[in-house]
Amino acid sequence: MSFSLVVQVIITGLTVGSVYALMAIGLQVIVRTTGVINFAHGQFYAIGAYTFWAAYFLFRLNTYLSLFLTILVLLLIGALSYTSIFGFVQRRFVPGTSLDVKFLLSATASVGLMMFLSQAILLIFGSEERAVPPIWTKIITIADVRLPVERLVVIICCFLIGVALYLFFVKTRLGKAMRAVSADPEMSSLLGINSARIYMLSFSLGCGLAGIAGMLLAPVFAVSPGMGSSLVFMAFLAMLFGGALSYKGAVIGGLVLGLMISFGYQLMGGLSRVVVFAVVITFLIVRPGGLAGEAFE
Amino acid sequence: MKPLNNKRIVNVNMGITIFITLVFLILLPLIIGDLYIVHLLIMSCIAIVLGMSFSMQYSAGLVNIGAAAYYAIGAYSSTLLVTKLGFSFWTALPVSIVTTGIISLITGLAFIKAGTFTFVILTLLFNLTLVEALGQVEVLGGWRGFVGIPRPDPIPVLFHSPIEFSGHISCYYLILSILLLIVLAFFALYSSRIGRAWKAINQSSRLAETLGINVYYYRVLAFVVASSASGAVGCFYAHYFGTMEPVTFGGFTSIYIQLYSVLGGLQYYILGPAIGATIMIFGPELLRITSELQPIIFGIILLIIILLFPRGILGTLLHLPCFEIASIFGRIGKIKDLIFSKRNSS
Repeated sequence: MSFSLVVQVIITGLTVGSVYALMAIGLQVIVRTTGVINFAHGQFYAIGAYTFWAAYFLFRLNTYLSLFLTILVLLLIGALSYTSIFGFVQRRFVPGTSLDVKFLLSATASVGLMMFLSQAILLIFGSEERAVPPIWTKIITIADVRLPVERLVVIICCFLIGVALYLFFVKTRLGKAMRAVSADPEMSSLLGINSARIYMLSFSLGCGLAGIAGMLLAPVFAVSPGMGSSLVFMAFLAMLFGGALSYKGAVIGGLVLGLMISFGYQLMGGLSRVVVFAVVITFLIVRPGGLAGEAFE
Repeated sequence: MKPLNNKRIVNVNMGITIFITLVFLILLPLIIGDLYIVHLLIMSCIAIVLGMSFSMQYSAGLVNIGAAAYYAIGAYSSTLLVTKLGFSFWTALPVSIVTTGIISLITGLAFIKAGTFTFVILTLLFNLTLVEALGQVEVLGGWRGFVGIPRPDPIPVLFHSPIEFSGHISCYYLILSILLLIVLAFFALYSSRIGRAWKAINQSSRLAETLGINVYYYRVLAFVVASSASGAVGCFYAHYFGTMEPVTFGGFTSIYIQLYSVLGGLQYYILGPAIGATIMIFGPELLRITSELQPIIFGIILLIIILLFPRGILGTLLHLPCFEIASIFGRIGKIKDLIFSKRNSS
């Protein structure tokens, strides 16, 4: 492989990897505060991409206005699906509920939602791929290394969102409350935190992150109904690889996984996902806690 | 509840019920006569075994949402043995069951070690990756899969023409006998020491561990037994249907398998999947629901069951007031307990 190809593969890997990281963080926010495994996360991602496509391409709205609209729609969908579905599921989790029961209930409910949403998306928007016109078309060329600006923008946006999330969790009252609820819901409600509201907000935060991920990738790759289900499993893999109880782990796991997939695709073609999966499984068997060493148990 | 291997369980009532059910199942294709309905019955038998294997893993506290992977391994190994190596169906069936068992042992040892949460996701990922691998590798059929897989070879019988498996009805009897054998094996496991260990693990794995039950060992056992059973029906499915492609064994199939046992009732390890799977196979066909709308309707059903009827159809029916009143009269209640062998309440 020549040097310029390597750089391009790295850029692609980081682009995909940062989106995996964003999705994995969204999943983690949900699973850590509410204890719900959300398999419908990929569909929220697809809805984000389609909303952006509809706002930007179909209704010809301003870029920033459609960005804002997409995030708003996804936050609302998140809050709605929590109050209508996962809130009821979660009310069954009494303090003694074992993890298996929690995971079975939430996985089954979210799988039902996933089936419903993915088929609904397919029926509403049709099975063909939709292209969002690229927003940044420029390509920077430094000594025959071609760097497409839109991919760099995705990486930078994900980085900025990561920094913003860090500040949110460490500095603001709401972020601190979310961390408190995820650590111990009973104790935090004794201290006057409204757990029910925090659950709903963190669910909608997770969905919002999925929507942002979909929106960022929409101009880079095409928008298609199946985009969500394939990505959400990579996000789950990234989350496990990084360590299910660590946001830093999700970021590192996502980036490493993206690079592995991108290099694997260059070297092995279609089999890369199979090989990467086998590698990650072997890693998880040796080290069940993932890179950060923190797993649910 | 008393242990199920108590002698009292095999009493007259139970025997009569089982006998009537068996005669009914054996006479069913002769009564119906419509070959399409017989086809649906065969598909329900397959679905029942798949659902029972999901329930068996659930009884050991494992939530396997990638169960179609082992169904696929059974189907593919048998097809490869028959079409590429020229095995007969009757040797390919046990070999494919053993192959599924070995692969499930290796993967089960790894996945279960990784922890409850990781297990849930790894099983689904394993399923999706397996489908992708089957599609990518040309030796294994590629995305087009296999066409023209031969039906099971005829069995020679003394003083009689050999039993052919070209028609639907003989295939129905074959899958029915596989189903009954698996039900018998599962029932024996549930009523043995192993079944009681699973029950203990299901109630509290930590408590079971302190009582000296090797949780890891029993979980791997449940995983391997259940996966081998789904491998056996996978093998039958391939030879019955004649064609298969990797997409048949994708994530949606796994979700449907989960739905079979959730719909019927998760606490009823044998009758729950039987009812759930039969409804799931016959429902869309009788109501003429198009395959496009099926995921939407099944998704909504799954949500409704989880949110409103967590006991499933069987559990909800048995907790209806009329059954509760009837159980006061003792006899009916006893029959009910025996028939449905409710095992989860102590």
